[in-house]
Amino acid sequence: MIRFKLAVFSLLFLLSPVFSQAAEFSGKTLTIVVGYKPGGGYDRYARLLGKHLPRYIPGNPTIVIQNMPGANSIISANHLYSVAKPDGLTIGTFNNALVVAQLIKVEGVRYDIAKFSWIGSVASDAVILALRSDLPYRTAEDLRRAKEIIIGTTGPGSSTHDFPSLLKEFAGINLKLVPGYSSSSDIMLAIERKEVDGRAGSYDSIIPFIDRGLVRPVLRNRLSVPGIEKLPVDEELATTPKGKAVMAINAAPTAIYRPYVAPPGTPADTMKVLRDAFAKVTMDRELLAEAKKTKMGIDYTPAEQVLKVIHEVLNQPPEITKELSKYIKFGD
Amino acid sequence: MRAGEVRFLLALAAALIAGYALYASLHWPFRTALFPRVIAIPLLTLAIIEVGLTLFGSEKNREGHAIDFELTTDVDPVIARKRTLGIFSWTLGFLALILLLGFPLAVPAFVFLYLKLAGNEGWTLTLLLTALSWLFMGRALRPPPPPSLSPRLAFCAVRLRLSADSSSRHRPIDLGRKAFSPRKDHLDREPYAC
Amino acid sequence: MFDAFIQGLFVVLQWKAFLMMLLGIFLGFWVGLLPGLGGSTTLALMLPFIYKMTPEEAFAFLLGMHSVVSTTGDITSVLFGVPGEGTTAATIVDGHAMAKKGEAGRALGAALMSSLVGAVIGALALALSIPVVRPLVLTFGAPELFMLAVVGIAFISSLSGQGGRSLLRGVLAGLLGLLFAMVGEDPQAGVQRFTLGQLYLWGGLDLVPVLVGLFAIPEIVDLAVRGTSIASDLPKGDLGKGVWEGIKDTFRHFWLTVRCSLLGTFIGIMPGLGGGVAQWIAYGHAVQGARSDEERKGFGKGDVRGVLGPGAANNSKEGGALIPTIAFGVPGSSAMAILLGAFFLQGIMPGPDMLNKYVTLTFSMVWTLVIANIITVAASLLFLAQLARLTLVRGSILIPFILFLAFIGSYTSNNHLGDLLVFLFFGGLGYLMVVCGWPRSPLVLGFVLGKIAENNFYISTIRYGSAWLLRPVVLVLVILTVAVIVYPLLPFRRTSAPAGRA
Repeated sequence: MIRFKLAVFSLLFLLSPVFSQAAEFSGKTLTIVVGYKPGGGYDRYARLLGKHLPRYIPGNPTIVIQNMPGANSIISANHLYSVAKPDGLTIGTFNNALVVAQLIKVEGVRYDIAKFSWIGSVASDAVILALRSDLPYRTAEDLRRAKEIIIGTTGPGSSTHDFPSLLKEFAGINLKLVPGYSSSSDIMLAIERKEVDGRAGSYDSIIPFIDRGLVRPVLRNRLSVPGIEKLPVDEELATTPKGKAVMAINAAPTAIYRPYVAPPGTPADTMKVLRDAFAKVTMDRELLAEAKKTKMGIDYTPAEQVLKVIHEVLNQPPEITKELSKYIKFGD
Repeated sequence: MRAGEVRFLLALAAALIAGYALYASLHWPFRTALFPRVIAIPLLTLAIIEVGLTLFGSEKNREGHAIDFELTTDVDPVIARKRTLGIFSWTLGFLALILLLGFPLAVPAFVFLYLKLAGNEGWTLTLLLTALSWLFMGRALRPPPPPSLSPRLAFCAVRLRLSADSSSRHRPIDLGRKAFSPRKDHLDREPYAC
Repeated sequence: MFDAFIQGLFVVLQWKAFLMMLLGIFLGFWVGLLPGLGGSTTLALMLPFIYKMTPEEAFAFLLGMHSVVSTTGDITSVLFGVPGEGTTAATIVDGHAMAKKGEAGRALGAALMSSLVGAVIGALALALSIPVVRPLVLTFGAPELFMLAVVGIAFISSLSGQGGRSLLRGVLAGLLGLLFAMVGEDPQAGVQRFTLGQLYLWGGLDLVPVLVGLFAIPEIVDLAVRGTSIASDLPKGDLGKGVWEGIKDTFRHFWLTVRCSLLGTFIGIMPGLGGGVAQWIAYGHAVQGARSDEERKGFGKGDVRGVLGPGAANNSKEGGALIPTIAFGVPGSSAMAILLGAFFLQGIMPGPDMLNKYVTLTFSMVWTLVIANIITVAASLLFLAQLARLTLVRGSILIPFILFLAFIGSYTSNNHLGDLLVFLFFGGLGYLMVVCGWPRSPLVLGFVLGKIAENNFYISTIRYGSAWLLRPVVLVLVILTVAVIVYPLLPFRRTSAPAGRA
């Protein structure tokens, strides 16, 4: 009798992953928490995924987007870390730079980014510096020799500010930063007005203006995407090894530009389902077609690689961290 | 509280806010502090003047006509005060309901309670409107997420941090149980759903 | 260009695009009416659906929805004193006051008609300016934007009321508003200002909870105290007839409506000024039209001109905001930013192309703005009288719903408890201000313009040193500022003129 019960039990035990997978998601709602308001980049990616993911998750759950903006997505990260239940029904996305925020010990950070149950990142992005097309600067040498190049930014804590700030400090380029623009597209208008000479920022967001001929990309960070491979890299222009290391850390998170996590402690089998789903959906033809139309780059990075990047950033020697926190603030 | 006293308090509050702003700006870099100081200094000065005027200047009721509406004077002041306190209490009560029950439940609950208790409306109307609001919350609006409650956050943060290291809750053996019973039962015994 | 103008009309009238526009209008109607369903949020939610439509259909839908939101938002503001949209708060001040006097029908008629006029003028401005808009926008740089903000702030004097004491309180309110605008992270050094250690406040105070609290709570309290319906007096005549009266008012004060429309369009064109500004400046301008002390005192208590101004401006600014979006690919407001996403979805790059290759599409957008508003106003007029009857319902029944609208309206700003706390704080403040006779509009003006002034000031000084002070447009705006401050205080205006038409 006992053997019979044992047999049944072990059979069910072996089969239960099948039961539990389907049982976990069928009829349920999967919530994707987005650390920003509707309409922004992170939100659009989440909605795109939300549209196509259910096909790849056994049980075909309904997917709902929950916007939780605030403090440049730190609020959503805190929520995902401590409040959301680790049952696989809540996942989230937030600013890729939150790893840096943790490194420089920004006040209000109440998460440990390495402890999240990572799904992966669905896109990577390069950060570039673009200058108005009618300006004569073409090579890094030109930039160095220039008397003053005026760069508009939205304020510390955004790539529009941090990238040129590090260039100014460590690559010896005479950039004058003008912060205070209310959005990065306002900076484009200022460029047309000749109020500023250029702007830094994510390549994806500047492409439309490059295509239009308003600006020309001049420098990039270590990430290379088709179209800008030949540009000089900021780290190579650094005049000291310390500068090079600081730029490297700043650039590292852009490899995991659109991160997706589940709360810490989500069971391993659930994580497998989610990771598989993400890996497959990012190769889905419909999704890719739609993404291409909206100019959203898709480029899946699995969890192990993401964690490698995170550990690389977090394990910096303290002098580098100190140097970094002098130039990088975390903003809204 | 007479109107004169309220005026004094509001002016004082403005002065205190300005004072706080100046104090907070003491250690800021120049550019960060400039605008707040340029605003707070006149604010402080003028607020102090207003404080003085409320104490020593005489002002007939409603003399300084602001381009704004004025609260009704038709109602007996005692009743007015009672009703004012009442509505403020109800408003705060609504907030409490939202925190405790979440929007989808709090709204019909509030509608019901207010119509019955404060409005003294009949049962038919009350129940009808309550039902309407309940439907509206469920269907027309996608229910917004519940506001986070700090004690709950603290509780869950501590609990999860303790359990995250051992990840004790989800050992393989649990999978056997899961096939038979809903997963959440052990969570129901805790004061907060984490 | 003229045939593109006509072609644009035909594009909109194609039945599929037209149908999409009607759908958009239907959605936009409810979005504007209900506080909390923000126009921008809904636009963002609709984006995935337009992926499958042609450009003409897509924009008919989106613009149909978006252009209507400011019109129906006025309805909620007038009837309940809760802003249906962040951009329709100014209509509450006189619009809801009229509702309380039993003139809800008239206020609604005025709001809707002025919205229509504003929308048409905004669309017209869009159409006419297409050839010249680029130099116009390029002339207005950070120094000019700073001065524009200063001009806006100068309107505080117009909104304060007559008499030294009123002016003092108006300035106090304005300064408070400016200070509240400083909350958040400072873009110059990244310092957190006045955030009291709360992550929620990093981005500053959000406009909607502040407005909803400031305006809705005092009205709710007043309603509870009065114990009657919103329209406490018996209605002056049939509410339905009142609607016609309101419509006629729009044309009685036609030039005011036109001027406020132009103001709204202009402010809409300037990117970075934001949608909340236009209505308040228009309101300030309407108040300036008062010719005597008694007239001025009438504002805030139900002067129809206080409805016409903001009603027109918050619609005309939509046409204005489209201009930088189309001509430069730079959105003039957050809703426009989402619309821009729609452009990209359709594979269109806004910019000079819109005035050449896609000029028909551009004109079709102009026509959409006009036609959508005509349809909305016509449809609303049908049951406006019924809507106005809500003001006759017992206050005790309405209060829970108004409160609920106010709470939800604030909460959907950030889906955070902080929204509700801000709402309640400003509710309390608004109530106190009304009790003490401090005008609230200057506070809103300061709040809305504070960051714009500061940021552009620093951009100007960092970029140009002090040379920007001598730019011609800047000097003109300085003179304008002085004029705006001084105008209501001029002595010769104090002599009681023949009682003006109110």
